[in-house]
Amino acid sequence: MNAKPDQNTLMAYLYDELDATQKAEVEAYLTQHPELSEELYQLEETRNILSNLEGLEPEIPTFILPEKPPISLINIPKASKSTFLRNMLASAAMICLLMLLGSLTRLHIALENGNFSLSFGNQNSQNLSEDKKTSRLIPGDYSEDSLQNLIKKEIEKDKSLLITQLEDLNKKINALPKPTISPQKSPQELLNRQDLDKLMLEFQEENLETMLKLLTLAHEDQQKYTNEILGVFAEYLERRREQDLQKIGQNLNNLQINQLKNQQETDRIIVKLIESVNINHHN
Amino acid sequence: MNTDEFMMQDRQILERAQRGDHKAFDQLIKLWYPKIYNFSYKYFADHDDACEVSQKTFIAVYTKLSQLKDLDKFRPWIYQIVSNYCHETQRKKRRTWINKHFPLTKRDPEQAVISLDVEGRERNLQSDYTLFQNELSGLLRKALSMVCEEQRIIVIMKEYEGFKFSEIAEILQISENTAKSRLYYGLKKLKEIFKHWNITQENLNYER
Repeated sequence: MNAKPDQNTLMAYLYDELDATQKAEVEAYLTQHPELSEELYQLEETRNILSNLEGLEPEIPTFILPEKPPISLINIPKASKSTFLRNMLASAAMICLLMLLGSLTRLHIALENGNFSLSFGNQNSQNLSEDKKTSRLIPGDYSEDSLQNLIKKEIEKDKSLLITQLEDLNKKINALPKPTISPQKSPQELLNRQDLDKLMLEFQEENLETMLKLLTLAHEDQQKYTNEILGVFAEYLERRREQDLQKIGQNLNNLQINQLKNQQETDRIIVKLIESVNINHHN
Repeated sequence: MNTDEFMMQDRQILERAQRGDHKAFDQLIKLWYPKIYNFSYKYFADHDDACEVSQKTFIAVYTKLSQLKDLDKFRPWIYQIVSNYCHETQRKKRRTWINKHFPLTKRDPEQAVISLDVEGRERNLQSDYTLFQNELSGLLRKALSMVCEEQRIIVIMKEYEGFKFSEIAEILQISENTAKSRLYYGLKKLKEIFKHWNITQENLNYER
């Protein structure tokens, strides 16, 4: 084999799916071309590695099967006609439903003078609205005279309305109660020199009185406060004295106990000394 | 029981199942569920997805078995169903944005065994060989999942199910040459992955 085997031939060779002649040709090529042989060897090794993947033994789930064979198992003829009929019936039903809805809502669709109108409700009300429409400008009535007349009419209407409103307002204002203002004295009359002096004196007296009152009140409060402070301080001192006395008493007791202990210790030592002296003396 | 007898028994089961015999269908499930599960588990490397696809496959088999005229073609037929479901599930997974960006940690039956083994090596009855085999299987499944979907399915069909190229072409409705070409590139990709992970047959033999 002179031509290099393509991928497909190589794959077929790798999986032993070539006929004898093709296989011999590939083998002949491989002997002459070790690089291709190496490639095939590597693919074979990959296959060997893959063969290490073992299958698992899964838990088989329970399938709850219906008693009767499912619908798909029953041979139902393909009903193309029935689907067509079904579609037709569905569309007819839809049209009927739309018509019913239209009659219930009194739907009115009209195409007049190039205008498309869609409305719901009574026809009478529609007529009324049409009447209203006619009172308004209709396309084609745009002559200057008619427009001017209409504008004048509207202005006159507005004027009369404004006048009546103003009159009403005036009437309301007049009906309101007027405030009674007492006659004022002249400033010269009010600001008399003597009166001013009197007023000043009165003010001064009043100020003095209030000052005195404040001072007396402050003095009383101060006295109370100082008395309270003194009382608290005396209590504190008393407590402190008692505490100190207790501490002194405890310390004295401790001293006495220690003294006694020391005395006992010294007595024991003296006894021991005397005994040792006596023993030495006898010896 | 030789192969012919086995084939005959399979055919009888199929015929009875086709007639609506529930017991025969149960037998069919027992026979084929492990194969279908393993096929989909290799495809997804995920236990839950494999279970879901396997169950869908058997429901489809139950509802459509009557439509299968030639019972000799049951094997490619069922693999066609499972392949379609695998492809559909993979497509749905790709569409699900949340799965892509926040992948949920799913239960792996072998991984559970491994974690048990790590916790109490002494208590576990598994041998070192089983542990090694489980770890290797996990790696191989991961390697397979790294190969693109079109190539992966052909690698699985060829390497583990032993289909011929003509059968693969019929199942996947592609040409034989396309199947061969996809397998070639799939194997090359796997070779690169194994090289990158330093997995060679020599190393595997040494580990054993």
